[in-house]
This record gives sequence, C-alpha cells and structure tokens, in this order.
Amino acid sequence: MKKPFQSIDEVSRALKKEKYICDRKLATVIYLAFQMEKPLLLEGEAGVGKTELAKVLSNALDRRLIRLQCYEGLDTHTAVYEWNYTKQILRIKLAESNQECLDNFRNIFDEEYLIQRPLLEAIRSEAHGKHVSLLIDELDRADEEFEAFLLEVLSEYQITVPEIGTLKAKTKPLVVITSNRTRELHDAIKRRCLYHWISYPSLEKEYEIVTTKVPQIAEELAMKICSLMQQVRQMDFYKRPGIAETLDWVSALLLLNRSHLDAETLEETMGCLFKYQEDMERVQNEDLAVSWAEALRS
Amino acid sequence: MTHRGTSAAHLGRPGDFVLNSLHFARQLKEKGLPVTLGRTLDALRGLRLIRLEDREEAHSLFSTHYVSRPEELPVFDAVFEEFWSSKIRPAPLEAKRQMQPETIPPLTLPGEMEPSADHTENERQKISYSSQDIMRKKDFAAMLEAESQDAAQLIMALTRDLGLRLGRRWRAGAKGKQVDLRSSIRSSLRHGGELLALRKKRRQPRKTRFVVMCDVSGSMDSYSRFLLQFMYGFQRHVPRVETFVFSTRMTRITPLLRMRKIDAAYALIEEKVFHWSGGTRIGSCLAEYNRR
Repeated sequence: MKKPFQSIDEVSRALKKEKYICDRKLATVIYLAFQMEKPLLLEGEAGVGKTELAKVLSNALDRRLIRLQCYEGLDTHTAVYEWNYTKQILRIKLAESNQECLDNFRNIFDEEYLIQRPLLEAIRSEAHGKHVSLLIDELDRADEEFEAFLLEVLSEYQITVPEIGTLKAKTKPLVVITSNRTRELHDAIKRRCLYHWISYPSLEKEYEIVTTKVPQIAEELAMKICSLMQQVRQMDFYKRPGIAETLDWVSALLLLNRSHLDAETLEETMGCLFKYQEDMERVQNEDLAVSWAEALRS
Repeated sequence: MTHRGTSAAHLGRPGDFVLNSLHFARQLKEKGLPVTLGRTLDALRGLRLIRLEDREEAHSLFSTHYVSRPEELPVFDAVFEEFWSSKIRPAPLEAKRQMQPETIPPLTLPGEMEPSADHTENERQKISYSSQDIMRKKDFAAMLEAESQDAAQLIMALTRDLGLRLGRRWRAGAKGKQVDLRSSIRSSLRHGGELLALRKKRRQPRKTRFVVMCDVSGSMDSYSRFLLQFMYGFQRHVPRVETFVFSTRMTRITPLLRMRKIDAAYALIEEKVFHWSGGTRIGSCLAEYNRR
C-alpha cells in the first residue's frame, strides 16, 4: 500500500500548508508513525497543540477524523458500540401487535439497531477501505481498565461484536493518542506507540506560529508578544500559558483594535492567558500588567 | 534479518551501526531508561526510514522509542550527545570499511583517533563490559533493589486496606441495591420482552489516591535516605500516588521517583531539590500544598 508521506520534508510541508508549524523532530516522528504503522503518543503541557496536530494531519491527508474524548468512567458502551435498546424494544412491541414472528431475535440484532461509537467506527471505516484518523484525546483521564481494553484494539485492530461477528481493519488507521499526564499511562501502551513530548515552543517557533495563524498582526508587535510569553513561561504560575493562550490573546488584542497596549488593556485581556484565580491574583498583586505593558512598548 | 541487511546496505559498513546501536541502548538502560529488546528492534527497523547523516532525525528515532516520560528526556539527551557525537561527524568511508565486524566496534572510528589517543582509550573502557566502575554501581543498585523488595511487602500490607472507596462505575451484582435497568431489559428479551427478573448493580470499590508528604529538613537527615526509599517503594507499588518533600519549601517529586532504577531517582532528586536538609517550615509548606 502506498504510504501517505514519502519523506520527512513532505510531512513538514503538508503541515505548514495547514498552518501547523512543527520542528524537524516532530516531523520525523510523524513520518515514522506512518511508515511503521504505529500509533502516535503525544504528551505535553496543555495548549501546545497536541489535539490540533491530529486535526491538522487528517485535514492534510483529507481523512475523516474520528475523535474519542476520554473521561473517568468511559466504558465500552460509549467507546466501541452499544445496542439501541429502545429501538429494539419498540421493534418487539411492534412485532407483538402485528402478530409477526421474530425468529431467534436475529432481526433486532442487526446493524439497524447498532449504535457505533468511535472505535468501532474507525475500524469499520478501515475495513471498508476508507482511511480515517483516530484521535484518542486525553487518555490519562480514562480508567486503567479502558486502557487495557484499548491495548487489545491497538494491537489487533479488530473488534468483536458477539451478535454480528468480528470486524478487522484491512489497513491500520492513523491513531493519535494525547495525554496531559494527570497520571502515568501504562508501560504496555507506551511500548506500542511512538512517543513524543511536545514542549513549549521556542521564541522563533512561537513567532512563526503567531504570524502564520494571525497574519494581520504587525510583525514587530508579534515579536514583542512572543518574547513576553517566553518570559511569562519562565515564571512560576500554577498553569503556564501555552501557545493556544498566546493565539487567543493575540486575537483578542486584534479584536479590541487597540493600537497601543497599555496596562489597562493588558489587564482586561489577562483572562486569555491565565485560567486560574491564583494566577490572576498574582498578576494583580505584583502589578505585572504594568511592567509587561512597558516591556511591550519599549 | 532482512532489516539488518537493508540497513547495512544503506550504510555501506556491515554490522557496525547495529552493534553500536545496541551499545547505545545498553548505556541508556544503565541510566535507568526503560529499554527493552522489543523497543530496540523497532528502533533498528526504523533506521532505514531515516537519513542517518541527519543528527536530528536519528535523535528523534531513538528518543521516540526509548523515552516515554519527559523526565527521561534530559538523561537521553546526555547519553545521545556523548555516544554519537564522535560518530556521526562524517569520517572517510575507507576508515569505516576497515572496521572488523566480528570484534566489538569501539565508539570512535579509527579515522578519528588523532585528537587524543587517551580519550579514545577511555571511551573504549566505558563500553567494555566488565569495567570495575560499572560493576560497583550495579552492586549498589542491586542492594537497594533487594532492600526495597522487603520494604515493598510492608508497604503493600500497609496500604491494602487503607484506601478503598466506592467508585463511580457500576458493576452488575446480585448484592447490589440499585436496579440495573439496561441489564434487566436485556435479560427480559430472552423471555420475549417480559420482565421476569430484575438485575441489580452496585458501586465498585476503587483505590483511593494517596498523597505522601515527607519532611527532609536537617533534623531528619539521618532518616531521609530511608524515607526516600520508602517513598520510592510506596509510589512504585501503589497506584495514584503523589509525593512531595518539604523543608523550607515544598517540591513535588512524583515524576522524579518514577525512574526505573532507584539510584537514577536519587540522582535526579539531588539535582532538582535544593532545599534538602534545610530548616523546617511546616506551616507554610502545608499552606502551599493547600493552595495548589
């Protein structure tokens, strides 16, 4: 089968076309993930573009993105498949009133009554020759049991629905798993994946991202904002702002259409950067807005 | 061994790169990274997909296979830097061909010996297996591991009953108090849609999360090594633990203790925790914990 990317440079180019700036290391890992047909495990602080990468990749390849958002208590009913009980009951009632015979209930356990959840959907698509990307977002939030189940799916790429049979993907979908490290993922999962830690971007990279994503911004201002963000990340905040926060902030500033940035404007827009009361309080108590405004003006 | 054949063809120097990769893997293992044969095989398979002359690509290939926690990245970087720095720099191809495939290739290539013969000699010793230095280190680690075996048993006994609470997930069970509607209806289908028996469900007990806080101020100095070992064992055998140490300040060491080898964890902690054996400010540290 023809693999989607022929070289590492092609990966970088394709992502750049979708306005995603990635360094060579990440591009190499993505290329390897396609070539070796392994899932990609991305970890990093919040807001560095882990989920975004999955979206952008499926855009670049023109594949459908199937997303499974993990949460505590996620089970197979919501991740793989579920029978539409209500519909089944209604069907039985209907059969009853029409005096019709349902032989062995086979009729009510067919596809019509099957609710597909993300994992089954992805495997089915691949089984029918349609490529998809599967994003398993924030796997660290799911329970360990689900992780163990996922392990099975990821090694065999097949799912068994007892009433229907076993579905096996003919080709492997691109699987992107993200984790915020609220807990450590199991070693067995890590072993099966290609691991990449996305760190906060360097000044140059952040500048490139900002000017690519928000081209309306003046270059000089973008540079100043980016170097300010680098400083902010050095400080000891509870939740340091990621690149997503930078982009939010830049867009907010543009929307407000302020030609010059004073302390007041900064304070008004701090909500874009900090999401915790403690951090906001610190900005206020230490008059950081004032000194940052000065840094931006100079 | 088809991959080996192709990668060797790629390189124009048989066997050499594969062997060196194995040495590299072993050094990483010594430093406490989770190196397994499977990972190494995968990494070797990946070798033919990248351009070996490109350092960054090689770095990515190996790190994506051997690193699985951000704390391991600096360790990996250091070993990678030391191991491959003299290798990847282009050396004349003839020099590479002179290598004897059946002997263990030294780290530095013969063509690069000029700068200092001493240095090469040192490097050679580093990878030769029975170097005393390494053995001593290993014994030390082994001793600690053995001790922590005993500690582990105690810890398991301590924590077994400590932390069970009811979880949010349901499990079917006859002792349950609540009716499991879905399961009941499902089972009723067997009898033609008549609800004959009610299925019950109950909450499944689950493990509590632990927070371990340890005083490592000066007055506790003589115990702190033992305590560290305790915390290491605790975190290793009990899921969902957060570990903090405090004296005048408070530091979260959960990620540091996740290293495979206990002395790797010690080294990391020595590096990251500055306030070891300082004074004690319990109040402010607890306050800081609460704030977080």
